[in-house]
Amino acid sequence: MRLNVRNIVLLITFLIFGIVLSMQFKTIFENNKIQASSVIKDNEYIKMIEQEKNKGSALLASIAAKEEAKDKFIQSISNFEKRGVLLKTDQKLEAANLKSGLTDVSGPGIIINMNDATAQKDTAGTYYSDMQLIIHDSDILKLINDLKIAGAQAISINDERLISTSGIICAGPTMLINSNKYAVPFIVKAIGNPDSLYDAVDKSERVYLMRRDGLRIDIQKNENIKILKYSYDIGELTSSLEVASK
Amino acid sequence: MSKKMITNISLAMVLLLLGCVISLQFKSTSNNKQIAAYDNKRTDELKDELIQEKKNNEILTDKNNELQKEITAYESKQGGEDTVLLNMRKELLKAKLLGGLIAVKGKGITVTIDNTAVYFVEDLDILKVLNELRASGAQAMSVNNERIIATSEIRTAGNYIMVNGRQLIAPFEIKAIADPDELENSLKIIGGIVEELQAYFKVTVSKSDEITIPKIRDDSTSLNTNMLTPVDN
Repeated sequence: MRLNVRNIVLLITFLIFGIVLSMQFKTIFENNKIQASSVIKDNEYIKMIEQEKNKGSALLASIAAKEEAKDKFIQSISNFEKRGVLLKTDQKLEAANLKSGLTDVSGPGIIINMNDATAQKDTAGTYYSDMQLIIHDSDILKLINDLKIAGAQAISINDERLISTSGIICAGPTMLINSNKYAVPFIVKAIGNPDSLYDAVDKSERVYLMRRDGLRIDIQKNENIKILKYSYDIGELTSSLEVASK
Repeated sequence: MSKKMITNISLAMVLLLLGCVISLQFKSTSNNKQIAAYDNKRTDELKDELIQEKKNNEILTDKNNELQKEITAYESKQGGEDTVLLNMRKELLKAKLLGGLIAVKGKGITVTIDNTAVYFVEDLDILKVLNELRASGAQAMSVNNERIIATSEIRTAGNYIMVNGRQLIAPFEIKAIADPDELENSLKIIGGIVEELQAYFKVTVSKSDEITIPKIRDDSTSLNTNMLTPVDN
């Protein structure tokens, strides 16, 4: 009797053992398959992205060549009066583009490099929640506003020029800037008086709190910063606007 | 006696082994789940990047085609000059509309935020509303008739809020031009900015078929470009 009970226990044990073993093998094989297929997919995406990038640089070169041809054409217009009107309009366009963020610009200013915290706790050993360890849209919003208060004349985040319609929107672990997704690090460039801009950021309450929580914020003054223009279509951004007569 | 002990020991060992195998199984399953999640995220990110590149190329293609049309027009000589001028004027108007250099009108909404006996509206409250409006497609905005441009600051200064270097007092009237329904929906969404602000302030949102927003004052308090040097590529 006793022997039988033991045998039954043994039987059940080995039965479970066998099932577990076969499950283990099955999951390992399946996972290998999943991994293999996702690697292939990733490689395909990478290849397609490369192709699009090449196409993009070819288009940029073509656009540059055409713009040059256009300039030459304007210069070659023999009708003096017409050429005058064209040149004057061109000057107005350049001035408006400069004011609206549609021109690449350079000048003195600061570069801020922002990244999430690395450690799970600060030097005093206090643990923070995950929410305190990452950069939020409101942090960037406040920082950008501080730069504007300090007189920044041109600002970009990860080379996205901030224009009148640029929102900064939290989208899960990434940030949407000019409808493009960016993850950390965020590199903010601003042109203006470097000392005023530096102090505005370095002494801001928000930056103090962020640094206390271990977020990495590095500020560098620079005498010659280049900030790219807003390079997307602006027709879409002005489609609902009509000129109002004053 | 000793035989029974041997059996017991061997049984114990088998069960120990089983325990180890089960714990290993759990560990590897949860590990694999993590790996799978990471892989999916990576693929999603790549997908996003690809979509972005394609979108970018579409814009570039449009621009390239536009220029091609212009060049064809010059080459035909007839009306070449007029085509160039017309295009320049179109570009100029768009740049002025975007940069806030011209007064505009259109459909949109007005958000009014007023202090209460206890709470005063601060810069971050206004900033959040403006950011939400931008996120939902606002094309032109103003706060108490100060046009909001790329460099407009919002700053609490005592009982005032400074915008474009001007002191503004409550109530704060924020106007925005874009699809009124879309603007209203994104502001009034549950847990959204209006709900957040209504806990402290008097907030009203009203849609309108014609909102007028003035241009930026073109003086040194509101719009400066003296430190910017245009760069030719």
